[in-house]
Amino acid sequence: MHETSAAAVEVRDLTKTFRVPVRESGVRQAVKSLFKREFRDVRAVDGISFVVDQGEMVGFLGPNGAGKTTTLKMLAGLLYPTAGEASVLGSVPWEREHGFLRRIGMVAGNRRQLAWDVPAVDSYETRRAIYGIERGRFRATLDELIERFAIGDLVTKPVRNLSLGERMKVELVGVLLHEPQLLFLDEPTIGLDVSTQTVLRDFVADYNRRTGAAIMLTSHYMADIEALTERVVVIADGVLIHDGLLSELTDRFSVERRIDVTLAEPADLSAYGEVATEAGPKVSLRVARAEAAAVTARLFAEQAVVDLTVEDPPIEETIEALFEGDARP
Amino acid sequence: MIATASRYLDFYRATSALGFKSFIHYRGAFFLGMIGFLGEPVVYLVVWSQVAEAQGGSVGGLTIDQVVTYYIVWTLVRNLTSFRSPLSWQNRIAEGSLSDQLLRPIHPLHDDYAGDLGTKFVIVPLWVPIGVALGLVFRPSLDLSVPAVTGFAVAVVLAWILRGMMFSLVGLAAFRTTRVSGLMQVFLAIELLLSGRLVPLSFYPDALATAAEWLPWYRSFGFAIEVASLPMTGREILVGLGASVGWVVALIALYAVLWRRAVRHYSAVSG
Repeated sequence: MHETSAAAVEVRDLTKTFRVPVRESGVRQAVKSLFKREFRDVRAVDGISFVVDQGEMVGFLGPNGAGKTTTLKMLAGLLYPTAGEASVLGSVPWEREHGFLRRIGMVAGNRRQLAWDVPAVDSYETRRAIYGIERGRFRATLDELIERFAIGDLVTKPVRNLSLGERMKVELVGVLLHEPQLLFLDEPTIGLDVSTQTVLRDFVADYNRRTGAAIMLTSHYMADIEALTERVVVIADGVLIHDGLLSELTDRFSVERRIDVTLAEPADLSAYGEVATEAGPKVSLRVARAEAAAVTARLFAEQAVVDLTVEDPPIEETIEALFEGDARP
Repeated sequence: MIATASRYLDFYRATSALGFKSFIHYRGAFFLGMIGFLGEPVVYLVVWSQVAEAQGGSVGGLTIDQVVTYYIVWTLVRNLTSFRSPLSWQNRIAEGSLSDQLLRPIHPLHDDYAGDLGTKFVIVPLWVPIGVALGLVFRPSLDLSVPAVTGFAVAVVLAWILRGMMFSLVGLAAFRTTRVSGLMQVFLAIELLLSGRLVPLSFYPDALATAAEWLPWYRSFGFAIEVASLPMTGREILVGLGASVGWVVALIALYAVLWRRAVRHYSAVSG
């Protein structure tokens, strides 16, 4: 890993272990812990490696507690790793050089970065000074962001008077004012209504196209991931279990396929697989992926099939199975 | 170098303006609080004036006039040297806003100083009517000569910087423990006794007064009051200011070392 790297992010064997205090319930244990505290090690991130290219948008998926936010925090310079290496925009993130911090931005859906009692424009002015943005450029960028998000009337209201969705928009604008080359978005659409989620997604995609910034995104909403990223990095229990196209996830991890069949007459198809839905002659079957071809052939041979389609299950189902451990390698 | 200084000045201007705008929302509550907190110096003033009168016109080497002036200037210095509580560090860590500050290419301490500076532009105008009222009631005899006023201005700025550094050092404990409030209480108790807040240092036995004079608590409070309210030579003022500068430099150096360790610890354990 070196400064001439074309990658925005290079991570090798990154590991983070937290030492957390443990205490059983009860007064006796509480008193005991005053004199002798016990700890256990929790490996939040376990030797993950991946590369994100300049201008690339990558989805970071995993169940709660998988290590996604810990990884993003390490890459943003907020956490020291226990082991491993990382190069972000040519810098070691946890050295936290000002030149590095000037080129990144991070939005966490559950946190606020703007002053509470004053309008967002006042906080924007402070960010202009912090990042040393030339006034003309600042004005042009701010005007464009205000227009793009349609927040002209919001930025002059005290932040505390804004709704969650409104606040997220003005927060995101604040983070983008210095036009970061790498953007970490940690659950940016959490708690937002559907239309605001769409505006936010469109804007992030547009920002990526316009500036060529690399973007790493975590979200529990698959719609965010599907709309913004082709490639996903999936971690579970701190371990990287998939790094590739989102579409490959289904091929790789989906353990079943769905067969939608329309018969000439209603019939009991439970012998062919799990009946997911049944509406007269229309039946939806779930079958093991490996058996899909054979079941299809049997249906054609043994039933009066009018129409038949074989599909992968929705990506949400694959992800859900993956997170629950059913489909892990 | 010039570009960096210019950027920092720009930052201080913008952030102090933000601090001013944020604080002005609470001006009413602050004004009432300020009237409430006047109880402390007025009690000291009345009690020690009575003691001085009973002792033939002086106490601890101070005349009644000087005691009155001391405690009226006290009210201004107390407001000018107020600073963001060390407990704020605990809150920042708990709420996650420290992470947001660490993502910025500027030290959070600058944020604190610049924001606090902005609040002074609200505090001072609110103090003026109170100061005038106290002056009309108690008739202080202020030294308004150029050396005294200049010395006071410099001393109070250094006192503010020094108190801010002391508070920030106490606040660093929040990186290792969630019990900063206990440490804060110990700090405030020492400050009450050794800064000149409870009584001017001349009220103490000579050895204690001399020792306290060279400690940072006095430089962060009582020294500025004494420059404005007690007779001091130009040399005494300069030596005092030198001691204040020395403490500022020493505490910044100490802070720099401890900050690095604190952030490293925070970065190692925060989830």
